[in-house]
Amino acid sequence: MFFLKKKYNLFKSIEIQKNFLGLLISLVLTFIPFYLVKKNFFSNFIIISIIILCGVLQIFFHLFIFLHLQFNKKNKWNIISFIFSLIIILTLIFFSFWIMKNLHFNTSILD
Amino acid sequence: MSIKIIKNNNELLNIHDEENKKLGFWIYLMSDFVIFAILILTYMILSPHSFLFKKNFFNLPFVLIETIVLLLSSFSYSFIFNSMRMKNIKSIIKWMICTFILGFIFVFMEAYEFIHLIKQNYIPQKNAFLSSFFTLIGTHGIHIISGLLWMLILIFQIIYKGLTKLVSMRIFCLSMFWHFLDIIWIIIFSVVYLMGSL
Repeated sequence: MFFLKKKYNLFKSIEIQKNFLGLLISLVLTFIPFYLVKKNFFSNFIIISIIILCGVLQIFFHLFIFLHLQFNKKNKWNIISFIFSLIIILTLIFFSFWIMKNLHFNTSILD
Repeated sequence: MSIKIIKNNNELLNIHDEENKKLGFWIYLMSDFVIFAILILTYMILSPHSFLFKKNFFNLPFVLIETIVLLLSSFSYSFIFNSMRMKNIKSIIKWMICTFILGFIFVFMEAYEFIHLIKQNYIPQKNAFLSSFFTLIGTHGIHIISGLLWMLILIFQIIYKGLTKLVSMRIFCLSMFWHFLDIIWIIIFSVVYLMGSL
């Protein structure tokens, strides 16, 4: 009983540490792009790529730390549906931009 | 003896059922993800129309505070799992109320931003950019409000029903919903606000 309790406490503290780590990472990844946009050090292209990189990293940390999405057999269907929706979204983004760029008729003013 | 076996069987079924419910909720979240992706995409395609406005259309520090509030609410919700493992109902309710207050502050700030824009005569009817912006942020706000309602109902359910299996599964589903909304807000913050004020 005593050992069980000790093990349980240890587990709990690891969980809390994980949550703190998640908060810290997401705050840092929010502040970096904000600071870059405010100060405008680099060209727009570099800033946009840093924003996208930070966003993607933050999403993955959120998925693993807060949503508990691990790559194991138990979560097989969760991961398959996630990848499926990602494929749909990427297809949508790619082809809409493609069409809108080619139409170039009042709908979009992308350069 | 036979009753016991049936009961065990039932429990087994329940466990299976719970996993199915979690998976079903996850698939709902993924379809919601597609909806938000389409709204964000519409915004991105229509956003070049924003050249009509002055460069600092968004109040970026205000939105940064909004983001931090939502991240903190997500963080405070993650403590509920520890309390659930300890079967500490008081602590669960405490953290849930904390999350509720943070979420409410977020909704309040979003509403303030909307009112501020409408006062400057930036109404959704004005052009395509503004209507896509209001639709995107409004949809996220409605999701947050429904999450808050769910949280209120869960607080009462925890108080009256205790921490039954069904209630704890609902808490788990709400956690997925809440963290998912946080992820959506991260995307909106990067795409709409940060790229919009470049």
